[in-house]
Amino acid sequence: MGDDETRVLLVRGEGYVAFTGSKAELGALVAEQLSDVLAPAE
Amino acid sequence: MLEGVNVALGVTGSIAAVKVVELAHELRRRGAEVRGVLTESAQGIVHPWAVEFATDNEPITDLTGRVEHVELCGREGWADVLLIAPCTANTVGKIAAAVDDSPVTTTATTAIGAGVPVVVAPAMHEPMYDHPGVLDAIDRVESWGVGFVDPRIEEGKAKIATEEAIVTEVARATTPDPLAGEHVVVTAGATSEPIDPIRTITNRASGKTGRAIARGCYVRGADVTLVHDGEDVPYAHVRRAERAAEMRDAVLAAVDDRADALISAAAISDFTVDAADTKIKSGEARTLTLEPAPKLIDGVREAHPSLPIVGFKAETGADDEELVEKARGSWTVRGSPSSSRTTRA
Repeated sequence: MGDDETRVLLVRGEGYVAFTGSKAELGALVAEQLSDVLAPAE
Repeated sequence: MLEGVNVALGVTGSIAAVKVVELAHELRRRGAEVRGVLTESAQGIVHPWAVEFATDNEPITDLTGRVEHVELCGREGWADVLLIAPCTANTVGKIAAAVDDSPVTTTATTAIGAGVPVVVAPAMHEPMYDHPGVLDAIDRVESWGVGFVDPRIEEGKAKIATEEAIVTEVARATTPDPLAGEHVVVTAGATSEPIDPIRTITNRASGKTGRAIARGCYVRGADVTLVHDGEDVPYAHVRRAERAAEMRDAVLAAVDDRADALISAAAISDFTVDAADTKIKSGEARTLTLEPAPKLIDGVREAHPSLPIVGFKAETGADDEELVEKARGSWTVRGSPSSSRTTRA
Protein backbone atom coordinates (compact mmCIF):
# COMPACT_ATOMS: atom_id res chain seq x y z
CA MET A 1 0.00 0.00 0.00
CA GLY A 2 1.09 3.60 -0.51
CA ASP A 3 2.30 5.88 2.26
CA ASP A 4 -1.18 7.17 2.99
CA GLU A 5 -3.08 3.91 2.44
CA THR A 6 -3.96 1.60 5.28
CA ARG A 7 -6.09 -1.46 5.97
CA VAL A 8 -7.81 -1.72 9.33
CA LEU A 9 -10.36 -3.99 10.94
CA LEU A 10 -12.47 -1.91 13.30
CA VAL A 11 -13.75 -4.37 15.90
CA ARG A 12 -16.60 -3.19 18.07
CA GLY A 13 -19.25 -5.11 19.99
CA GLU A 14 -20.41 -8.14 18.05
CA GLY A 15 -19.33 -6.94 14.65
CA TYR A 16 -16.41 -5.48 12.79
CA VAL A 17 -15.81 -3.25 9.79
CA ALA A 18 -13.01 -3.86 7.29
CA PHE A 19 -11.65 -0.52 6.12
CA THR A 20 -9.20 0.14 3.29
CA GLY A 21 -8.42 3.69 2.33
CA SER A 22 -6.49 6.80 3.21
CA LYS A 23 -5.45 7.59 6.76
CA ALA A 24 -7.41 10.84 6.55
CA GLU A 25 -10.56 8.82 5.79
CA LEU A 26 -9.73 6.46 8.64
CA GLY A 27 -9.42 9.43 10.99
CA ALA A 28 -12.90 10.59 10.01
CA LEU A 29 -14.32 7.06 10.42
CA VAL A 30 -12.84 6.61 13.89
CA ALA A 31 -14.12 10.04 14.97
CA GLU A 32 -17.61 9.15 13.71
CA GLN A 33 -17.54 5.80 15.54
CA LEU A 34 -16.38 7.55 18.71
CA SER A 35 -19.33 9.94 18.39
CA ASP A 36 -21.65 6.92 18.37
CA VAL A 37 -19.97 5.47 21.46
CA LEU A 38 -20.15 8.69 23.45
CA ALA A 39 -23.65 9.74 22.39
CA PRO A 40 -25.71 7.17 24.40
CA ALA A 41 -23.85 8.00 27.61
CA GLU A 42 -25.14 11.56 27.59
CA MET B 1 -12.77 16.89 4.29
CA LEU B 2 -14.58 19.71 2.46
CA GLU B 3 -16.55 17.76 -0.15
CA GLY B 4 -19.62 19.74 -1.21
CA VAL B 5 -18.69 22.79 0.87
CA ASN B 6 -19.06 26.24 -0.73
CA VAL B 7 -16.43 28.66 0.56
CA ALA B 8 -16.67 32.42 0.07
CA LEU B 9 -13.04 33.48 0.33
CA GLY B 10 -12.60 37.09 1.45
CA VAL B 11 -9.18 38.57 0.70
CA THR B 12 -7.96 41.83 2.25
CA GLY B 13 -4.90 44.03 1.79
CA SER B 14 -2.17 42.16 3.64
CA ILE B 15 0.97 41.02 1.84
CA ALA B 16 -0.17 37.52 2.84
CA ALA B 17 -2.74 37.92 0.04
CA VAL B 18 0.01 36.56 -2.23
CA LYS B 19 -0.74 33.16 -0.67
CA VAL B 20 -4.40 33.17 -1.67
CA VAL B 21 -3.81 31.22 -4.88
CA GLU B 22 -2.23 28.34 -2.94
CA LEU B 23 -4.94 28.52 -0.27
CA ALA B 24 -7.73 28.41 -2.86
CA HIS B 25 -6.08 25.43 -4.54
CA GLU B 26 -5.82 23.62 -1.19
CA LEU B 27 -9.49 24.28 -0.38
CA ARG B 28 -10.49 22.90 -3.78
CA ARG B 29 -8.13 19.93 -3.43
CA ARG B 30 -10.02 19.08 -0.22
CA GLY B 31 -13.30 19.14 -2.13
CA ALA B 32 -14.60 22.70 -1.67
CA GLU B 33 -15.93 25.09 -4.31
CA VAL B 34 -14.48 28.57 -3.83
CA ARG B 35 -15.54 32.08 -4.85
CA GLY B 36 -13.29 35.02 -4.10
CA VAL B 37 -14.27 38.41 -2.67
CA LEU B 38 -11.52 41.04 -2.82
CA THR B 39 -11.10 44.45 -1.25
CA GLU B 40 -9.59 47.22 -3.35
CA SER B 41 -6.38 46.99 -1.29
CA ALA B 42 -6.18 43.24 -1.90
CA GLN B 43 -6.40 43.88 -5.65
CA GLY B 44 -3.20 45.90 -5.34
CA ILE B 45 -1.44 42.78 -4.09
CA VAL B 46 -3.08 39.91 -5.96
CA HIS B 47 -4.71 40.39 -9.34
CA PRO B 48 -8.37 39.27 -9.62
CA TRP B 49 -7.36 37.13 -12.61
CA ALA B 50 -5.08 35.09 -10.33
CA VAL B 51 -7.99 34.50 -7.95
CA GLU B 52 -10.26 33.63 -10.87
CA PHE B 53 -7.68 31.13 -12.10
CA ALA B 54 -7.25 29.61 -8.63
CA THR B 55 -10.97 29.33 -7.87
CA ASP B 56 -12.34 28.72 -11.37
CA ASN B 57 -14.93 31.40 -10.52
CA GLU B 58 -15.03 35.10 -11.29
CA PRO B 59 -14.21 36.97 -8.06
CA ILE B 60 -16.30 39.76 -6.60
CA THR B 61 -14.33 43.00 -6.65
CA ASP B 62 -17.19 45.45 -6.20
CA LEU B 63 -20.75 45.34 -4.96
CA THR B 64 -23.35 46.17 -7.60
CA GLY B 65 -27.09 45.99 -8.14
CA ARG B 66 -26.77 42.20 -8.03
CA VAL B 67 -26.24 42.54 -4.22
CA GLU B 68 -23.42 40.02 -4.41
CA HIS B 69 -22.90 39.99 -0.61
CA VAL B 70 -26.48 38.73 -0.10
CA GLU B 71 -26.21 36.32 -3.02
CA LEU B 72 -23.13 34.85 -1.38
CA CYS B 73 -23.80 35.05 2.37
CA GLY B 74 -27.45 35.94 2.86
CA ARG B 75 -29.87 33.60 4.63
CA GLU B 76 -30.42 31.57 1.45
CA GLY B 77 -27.01 32.43 0.05
CA TRP B 78 -24.54 30.30 -1.88
CA ALA B 79 -21.84 30.01 0.78
CA ASP B 80 -21.64 27.44 3.58
CA VAL B 81 -18.87 29.47 5.20
CA LEU B 82 -17.14 32.82 4.79
CA LEU B 83 -13.37 32.55 5.17
CA ILE B 84 -11.45 35.83 5.40
CA ALA B 85 -7.80 35.07 4.70
CA PRO B 86 -5.77 37.13 5.11
CA CYS B 87 -7.67 39.52 7.38
CA THR B 88 -5.98 42.81 8.23
CA ALA B 89 -6.25 44.70 11.52
CA ASN B 90 -8.25 47.29 9.58
CA THR B 91 -10.83 44.74 8.42
CA VAL B 92 -11.25 42.97 11.76
CA GLY B 93 -11.76 46.36 13.43
CA LYS B 94 -14.44 47.26 10.92
CA ILE B 95 -16.19 43.90 11.28
CA ALA B 96 -16.26 44.42 15.06
CA ALA B 97 -17.94 47.78 14.52
CA ALA B 98 -20.28 46.46 11.77
CA VAL B 99 -18.76 48.92 9.30
CA ASP B 100 -19.53 47.98 5.70
CA ASP B 101 -17.24 49.85 3.36
CA SER B 102 -15.76 47.11 1.20
CA PRO B 103 -16.96 43.92 -0.49
CA VAL B 104 -15.35 41.87 2.31
CA THR B 105 -16.67 43.82 5.32
CA THR B 106 -20.15 44.00 3.81
CA THR B 107 -20.13 40.25 3.11
CA ALA B 108 -18.93 39.62 6.68
CA THR B 109 -21.70 41.71 8.22
CA THR B 110 -24.23 39.88 6.05
CA ALA B 111 -22.83 36.45 6.97
CA ILE B 112 -22.77 37.12 10.72
CA GLY B 113 -26.31 38.46 10.62
CA ALA B 114 -27.53 35.51 8.55
CA GLY B 115 -25.88 32.91 10.76
CA VAL B 116 -23.43 31.76 8.08
CA PRO B 117 -20.25 30.45 9.77
CA VAL B 118 -17.30 32.84 9.50
CA VAL B 119 -13.62 31.93 9.88
CA VAL B 120 -10.96 34.66 10.09
CA ALA B 121 -7.21 34.22 9.54
CA PRO B 122 -5.50 37.44 10.69
CA ALA B 123 -2.19 38.62 9.24
CA MET B 124 -0.40 41.83 10.20
CA HIS B 125 2.79 43.21 11.69
CA GLU B 126 3.19 42.05 15.26
CA PRO B 127 2.84 45.49 16.95
CA MET B 128 -0.56 45.82 15.28
CA TYR B 129 -1.53 42.43 16.67
CA ASP B 130 -0.55 43.72 20.14
CA HIS B 131 -2.73 46.83 19.86
CA PRO B 132 -5.40 46.69 22.56
CA GLY B 133 -8.03 47.94 20.12
CA VAL B 134 -7.22 45.15 17.66
CA LEU B 135 -7.29 42.57 20.45
CA ASP B 136 -10.62 43.95 21.68
CA ALA B 137 -11.99 43.75 18.14
CA ILE B 138 -10.88 40.12 17.83
CA ASP B 139 -12.45 39.27 21.21
CA ARG B 140 -15.68 41.02 20.23
CA VAL B 141 -15.94 39.28 16.86
CA GLU B 142 -14.98 35.94 18.44
CA SER B 143 -17.79 36.38 21.00
CA TRP B 144 -20.24 36.31 18.08
CA GLY B 145 -19.17 32.76 17.25
CA VAL B 146 -16.64 33.68 14.56
CA GLY B 147 -13.70 31.26 14.44
CA PHE B 148 -10.16 32.68 14.44
CA VAL B 149 -7.12 30.83 13.15
CA ASP B 150 -4.27 32.20 15.22
CA PRO B 151 -1.38 33.68 13.26
CA ARG B 152 2.20 32.45 13.58
CA ILE B 153 4.34 35.00 15.44
CA GLU B 154 7.63 34.99 13.51
CA GLU B 155 10.21 37.64 12.55
CA GLY B 156 8.21 40.45 14.16
CA LYS B 157 5.12 39.56 12.18
CA ALA B 158 1.82 37.89 12.94
CA LYS B 159 2.03 35.73 9.82
CA ILE B 160 -1.07 34.11 8.41
CA ALA B 161 -1.68 30.58 9.74
CA THR B 162 -0.66 27.58 7.69
CA GLU B 163 -2.96 26.24 4.97
CA GLU B 164 -3.43 23.10 7.11
CA ALA B 165 -4.64 25.17 10.07
CA ILE B 166 -6.99 27.27 7.94
CA VAL B 167 -8.48 24.30 6.07
CA THR B 168 -8.99 22.43 9.36
CA GLU B 169 -10.81 25.40 10.90
CA VAL B 170 -13.03 25.73 7.83
CA ALA B 171 -13.86 22.01 8.13
CA ARG B 172 -14.69 22.43 11.83
CA ALA B 173 -16.97 25.36 11.01
CA THR B 174 -18.89 23.39 8.38
CA THR B 175 -19.05 19.88 9.91
CA PRO B 176 -21.68 18.69 12.44
CA ASP B 177 -20.16 18.67 15.93
CA PRO B 178 -21.28 15.49 17.74
CA LEU B 179 -18.08 15.61 19.82
CA ALA B 180 -18.60 19.18 21.07
CA GLY B 181 -17.76 19.40 24.76
CA GLU B 182 -15.81 16.12 24.70
CA HIS B 183 -12.11 15.95 25.53
CA VAL B 184 -10.41 13.24 23.50
CA VAL B 185 -6.83 12.13 24.15
CA VAL B 186 -5.04 10.64 21.12
CA THR B 187 -1.59 9.06 20.88
CA ALA B 188 0.33 8.96 17.61
CA GLY B 189 3.59 7.81 16.05
CA ALA B 190 6.40 5.73 17.41
CA THR B 191 8.08 5.82 20.78
CA SER B 192 11.80 5.15 21.01
CA GLU B 193 13.95 3.68 23.77
CA PRO B 194 17.55 4.89 24.14
CA ILE B 195 20.35 2.35 24.02
CA ASP B 196 22.92 5.03 24.77
CA PRO B 197 22.95 8.86 24.41
CA ILE B 198 23.17 8.50 20.61
CA ARG B 199 21.17 5.42 19.59
CA THR B 200 17.63 4.21 20.06
CA ILE B 201 15.42 1.24 19.24
CA THR B 202 12.06 2.17 17.84
CA ASN B 203 9.07 1.05 15.72
CA ARG B 204 8.06 1.85 12.17
CA ALA B 205 5.29 4.45 12.48
CA SER B 206 4.82 7.82 10.78
CA GLY B 207 2.12 9.07 13.17
CA LYS B 208 -0.20 9.87 10.25
CA THR B 209 -3.01 7.67 11.53
CA GLY B 210 -3.04 9.18 15.01
CA ARG B 211 -2.82 12.72 13.65
CA ALA B 212 -5.66 12.02 11.20
CA ILE B 213 -7.81 10.75 14.07
CA ALA B 214 -6.96 13.77 16.22
CA ARG B 215 -7.91 16.06 13.35
CA GLY B 216 -11.10 14.07 12.68
CA CYS B 217 -12.16 14.49 16.31
CA TYR B 218 -11.31 18.21 16.31
CA VAL B 219 -13.27 18.82 13.12
CA ARG B 220 -16.30 17.20 14.80
CA GLY B 221 -16.09 19.61 17.72
CA ALA B 222 -13.86 17.83 20.26
CA ASP B 223 -11.17 19.40 22.38
CA VAL B 224 -8.18 17.20 21.56
CA THR B 225 -4.90 16.43 23.32
CA LEU B 226 -2.32 14.75 21.09
CA VAL B 227 0.50 12.84 22.79
CA HIS B 228 3.40 12.18 20.43
CA ASP B 229 7.08 12.75 19.77
CA GLY B 230 6.47 15.45 17.20
CA GLU B 231 5.68 19.04 16.37
CA ASP B 232 2.79 21.24 17.45
CA VAL B 233 -0.36 20.83 15.37
CA PRO B 234 -3.18 23.35 14.88
CA TYR B 235 -5.97 20.98 15.91
CA ALA B 236 -4.76 19.73 19.31
CA HIS B 237 -2.90 20.55 22.48
CA VAL B 238 0.36 18.64 22.19
CA ARG B 239 2.10 16.76 25.01
CA ARG B 240 5.47 15.42 23.90
CA ALA B 241 6.65 11.94 24.83
CA GLU B 242 9.65 10.06 23.45
CA ARG B 243 9.80 6.87 25.52
CA ALA B 244 7.00 4.40 26.28
CA ALA B 245 7.07 5.33 29.97
CA GLU B 246 6.91 9.05 29.10
CA MET B 247 3.94 8.43 26.83
CA ARG B 248 2.14 6.50 29.56
CA ASP B 249 2.78 9.31 32.07
CA ALA B 250 1.72 12.01 29.60
CA VAL B 251 -1.49 10.18 28.74
CA LEU B 252 -2.31 9.56 32.39
CA ALA B 253 -1.76 13.25 33.14
CA ALA B 254 -3.99 14.28 30.24
CA VAL B 255 -6.69 11.81 31.20
CA ASP B 256 -6.46 12.82 34.86
CA ASP B 257 -7.16 16.44 33.82
CA ARG B 258 -10.43 15.26 32.30
CA ALA B 259 -11.00 13.02 29.34
CA ASP B 260 -14.06 11.49 27.76
CA ALA B 261 -12.15 9.00 25.60
CA LEU B 262 -8.65 7.73 24.80
CA ILE B 263 -7.61 6.67 21.32
CA SER B 264 -4.28 4.87 21.52
CA ALA B 265 -2.98 4.88 17.95
CA ALA B 266 0.73 5.14 18.74
CA ALA B 267 3.17 2.32 18.02
CA ILE B 268 4.48 2.11 21.55
CA SER B 269 7.64 0.18 22.28
CA ASP B 270 6.92 -3.21 23.81
CA PHE B 271 10.45 -3.34 25.18
CA THR B 272 12.85 -1.02 26.89
CA VAL B 273 16.60 -1.22 27.47
CA ASP B 274 18.86 -0.25 30.34
CA ALA B 275 20.64 2.55 28.47
CA ALA B 276 24.40 3.08 28.69
CA ASP B 277 25.55 6.43 30.08
CA THR B 278 28.07 6.93 27.28
CA LYS B 279 28.11 5.97 23.62
CA ILE B 280 28.64 2.22 23.17
CA LYS B 281 31.78 1.58 21.15
CA SER B 282 31.20 0.19 17.68
CA GLY B 283 33.06 -2.63 15.98
CA GLU B 284 32.18 -5.49 18.31
CA ALA B 285 29.15 -7.68 18.94
CA ARG B 286 26.71 -6.59 21.65
CA THR B 287 23.79 -8.24 23.38
CA LEU B 288 20.89 -6.07 24.49
CA THR B 289 18.49 -7.27 27.17
CA LEU B 290 14.97 -6.20 26.24
CA GLU B 291 12.75 -5.67 29.26
CA PRO B 292 8.95 -5.36 28.85
CA ALA B 293 7.83 -1.74 28.68
CA PRO B 294 4.78 -0.60 30.64
CA LYS B 295 1.46 -1.16 28.81
CA LEU B 296 -0.25 2.18 28.35
CA ILE B 297 -3.80 0.91 28.05
CA ASP B 298 -3.45 -1.30 31.15
CA GLY B 299 -2.29 1.68 33.20
CA VAL B 300 -5.09 3.94 32.00
CA ARG B 301 -7.72 1.22 32.44
CA GLU B 302 -6.60 0.63 36.02
CA ALA B 303 -6.83 4.34 36.87
CA HIS B 304 -10.01 5.01 34.86
CA PRO B 305 -12.09 1.81 34.64
CA SER B 306 -15.04 3.33 32.78
CA LEU B 307 -13.15 5.48 30.25
CA PRO B 308 -13.95 4.53 26.62
CA ILE B 309 -10.68 3.39 25.03
CA VAL B 310 -9.92 2.66 21.39
CA GLY B 311 -6.74 0.63 20.97
CA PHE B 312 -4.75 -0.02 17.81
CA LYS B 313 -2.62 -3.09 17.24
CA ALA B 314 -0.52 -3.92 14.19
CA GLU B 315 -0.37 -7.60 13.26
CA THR B 316 1.22 -9.71 10.53
CA GLY B 317 0.52 -13.16 9.14
CA ALA B 318 -3.11 -13.54 10.21
CA ASP B 319 -6.41 -13.62 8.33
CA ASP B 320 -9.35 -11.40 9.24
CA GLU B 321 -11.02 -13.93 11.53
CA GLU B 322 -7.81 -14.44 13.49
CA LEU B 323 -7.34 -10.67 13.76
CA VAL B 324 -10.87 -10.18 15.09
CA GLU B 325 -10.31 -13.00 17.57
CA LYS B 326 -7.08 -11.39 18.76
CA ALA B 327 -8.79 -8.03 19.16
CA ARG B 328 -11.58 -9.56 21.24
CA GLY B 329 -8.98 -11.49 23.25
CA SER B 330 -7.35 -8.22 24.25
CA TRP B 331 -10.72 -7.00 25.62
CA THR B 332 -10.96 -10.10 27.80
CA VAL B 333 -7.48 -9.56 29.12
CA ARG B 334 -8.23 -5.93 29.96
CA GLY B 335 -11.79 -6.58 31.08
CA SER B 336 -13.28 -3.54 29.40
CA PRO B 337 -16.73 -3.76 27.82
CA SER B 338 -16.49 -0.22 26.45
CA SER B 339 -13.22 -0.70 24.60
CA SER B 340 -12.97 -1.17 20.90
CA ARG B 341 -9.96 -2.36 19.04
CA THR B 342 -8.73 -1.59 15.57
CA THR B 343 -6.29 -4.02 14.08
CA ARG B 344 -4.04 -3.08 11.20
CA ALA B 345 -3.71 -5.92 8.73
